[in-house]
Amino acid sequence: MSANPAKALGDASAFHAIFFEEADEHLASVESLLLRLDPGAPDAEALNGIFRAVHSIKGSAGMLGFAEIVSLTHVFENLLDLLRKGERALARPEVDAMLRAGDVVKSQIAFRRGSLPQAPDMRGAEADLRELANASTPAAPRKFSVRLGPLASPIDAAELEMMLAGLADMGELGERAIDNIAGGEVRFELSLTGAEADLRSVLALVVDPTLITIGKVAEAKPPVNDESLELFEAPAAFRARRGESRRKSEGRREADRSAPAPQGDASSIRVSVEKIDRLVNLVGELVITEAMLAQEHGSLPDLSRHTRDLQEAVMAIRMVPISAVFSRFPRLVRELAQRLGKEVEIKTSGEGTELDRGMIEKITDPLTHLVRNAVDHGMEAPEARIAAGKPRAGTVSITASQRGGSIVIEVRDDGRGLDRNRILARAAERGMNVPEGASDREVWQLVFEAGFSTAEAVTEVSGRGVGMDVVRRNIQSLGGTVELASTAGAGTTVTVSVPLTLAIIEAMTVGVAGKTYVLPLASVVESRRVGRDELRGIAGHGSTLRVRDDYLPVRRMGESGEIAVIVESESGRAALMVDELIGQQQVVVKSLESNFRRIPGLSGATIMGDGSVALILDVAHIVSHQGDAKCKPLPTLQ
Amino acid sequence: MQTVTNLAVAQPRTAAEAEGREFLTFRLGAEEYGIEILKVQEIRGWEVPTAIAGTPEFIKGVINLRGTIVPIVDLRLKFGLEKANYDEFTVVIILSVARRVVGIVVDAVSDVVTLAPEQIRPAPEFGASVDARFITGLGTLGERMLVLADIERLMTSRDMQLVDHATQNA
Repeated sequence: MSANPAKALGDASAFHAIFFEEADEHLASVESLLLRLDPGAPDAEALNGIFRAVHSIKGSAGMLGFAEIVSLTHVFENLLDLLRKGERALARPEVDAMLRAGDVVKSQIAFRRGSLPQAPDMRGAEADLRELANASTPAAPRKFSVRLGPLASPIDAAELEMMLAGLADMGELGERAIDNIAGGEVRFELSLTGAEADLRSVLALVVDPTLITIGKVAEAKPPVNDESLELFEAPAAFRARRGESRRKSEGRREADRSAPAPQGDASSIRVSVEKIDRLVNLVGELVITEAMLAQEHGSLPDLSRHTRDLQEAVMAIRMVPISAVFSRFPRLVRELAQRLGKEVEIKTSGEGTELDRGMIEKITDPLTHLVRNAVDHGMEAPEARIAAGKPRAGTVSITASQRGGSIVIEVRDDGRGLDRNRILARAAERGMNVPEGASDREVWQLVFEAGFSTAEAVTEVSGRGVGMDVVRRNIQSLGGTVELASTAGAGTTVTVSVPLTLAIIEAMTVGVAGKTYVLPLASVVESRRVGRDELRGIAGHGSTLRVRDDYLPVRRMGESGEIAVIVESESGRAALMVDELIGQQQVVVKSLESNFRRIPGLSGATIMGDGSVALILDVAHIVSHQGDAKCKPLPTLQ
Repeated sequence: MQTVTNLAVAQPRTAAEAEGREFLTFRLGAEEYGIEILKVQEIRGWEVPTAIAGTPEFIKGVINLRGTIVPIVDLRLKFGLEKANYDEFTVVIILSVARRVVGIVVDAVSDVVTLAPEQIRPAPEFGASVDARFITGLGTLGERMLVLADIERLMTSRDMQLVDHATQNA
């Protein structure tokens, strides 16, 4: 036996890493299976799946000496066993208790991993489960005597050493007699918390399962409910899986050095966003250089194709599936519905749709808000639904799809729909001007106004005055749009559309006084040449341009132009006068703030094909800025 | 005890020099300034930046420095010097200060010098172009007097208008 088990194992914590990672996967599947369980008629396969996952956690936790996890998962398992044998009916309380137990195990693992400062209290969750399962005491450490042999050939010395060191780490290794030759045998005593079957499966990593004999020496306490400690998974299968995990962890060790908490897919590595952004920047430069080269010497088709492919590949690194956001909704909807006494099912689709990582972070809050709204405001109570001739349980469906350069996310509920009269009444209360006979669409727009909420009561969930206006503002700040459609009694659909990435926008380039400026194409409505006589001055209000039925304020940058670009922001439209329209292209958005500061009127800068910097205009600022009677240039733009 | 060098790299290092600190020196009008060499990222020729309206005259605009947008400040304009030409001899010192990259335009870059601690004296109250708050001391090099400036504090100061002071109370 090596004096230094850590050395013998290479990395003693490797087992822990495997466990944490596997437990995370198991817990995630437990949660998603639990959420999908239909309490009335639970799917046997789903229950089995949960049982298997919990059992695996228990087994590995036992081997690693995580007694708290073992004791909780043990009770968990007992309850599951009763459920899948049909000895107990599944109802809400069971599902809730199991979800809670899953959470507790999760935080216990987080604690073990070092990412939680304090060990969570497991007693409550355990007591709940025990009450439900009517089970008794948890598993206690037991003493096993293990015999491996007769050996057909000696066990690889290093492997044996590693196994013993690993076992010593997990439990208490007692007397041992090692006769590691062909025909010989290896014997030792071991005390540990955990099932014989699990010990067996770990040993099976090193020796043929048929050679393992395990006897119980003397037990500290009589085993409880031993049936449920029986081997569940065939050792061979377990072994294969273990072996796979071991390989996974070896392949990852390199990456783990920079990422202390191993998480996520085996086939991925963690890279800091800064490194990726640097890559994005460099590729952006390459694209520009390629364009310059093409301008001077003519295009090299291969070079431009490779450059474009490279750019796409690099941008793809930043893309993350939207399931990162969606995955939180089933739980959210479930808990919310429960708290509100409603029955709501959630359906998601298009989880694989990919979005820029920065976008994912920024879109989570608005989407969460929309989903909450759908459950809180949109959905009726079960009785009201039945009275309306609808199924008792409502449905919230969330879908994502890519349309061109945009991602469209739809949050749809089959609830009561928006109440036109209540919105109008509320608008009147707030002193908003609503034209007589406004269209539904115009009325729905009112809910996006600040402080507008028609919730009958301020609930814990929503209706705290932070409402749709914040959602709209957040989405617009991402260059996206929010639209609302609703049919009374049939439900509401909110459609959010955001660009694929924050880093690249589709843009219109315009020339003003010999300089190039960039306008986000999404905010350009139209452009046209206007004669001087088309512009009308209103005393004290600058000049206006009549576009069909509207008089739009005219914004100028210096003495510029005869071409009006009609731009639109949330606060309205304006006509921006420019000298020329240069073209339409994709531009890489660069921050002015990283080395400089925010400049009112500008939302960033970009680098043009010739290497020069062009400024990106902030349309919201242009529209809302009050132009003055003398047609002075905008203060920020000359 | 003089350690004037035309190029620090060309000079053999002695133990005394290793103790000293290296400064990049440049001229602004009649004064000669020294800034810590570690704050200097590179020195470039002048290229016309993209002007940003609504910013003070001494902020000449922004340039593309290998993919990042870098503001350029003309210190000659900032300190009210009379002539501020832009020609093939105009140089821009690219600084790396406070995790930002900014460029400054000066009259001329002179050399890199090493100053031993005893060559650095506290600055008396005197009327340099640069505000006394940003002067850390005076360096003596024979007949030359260097005004040693804390370029990081200067560049992030409120009157440079390079940093958002609303969010960042520097």
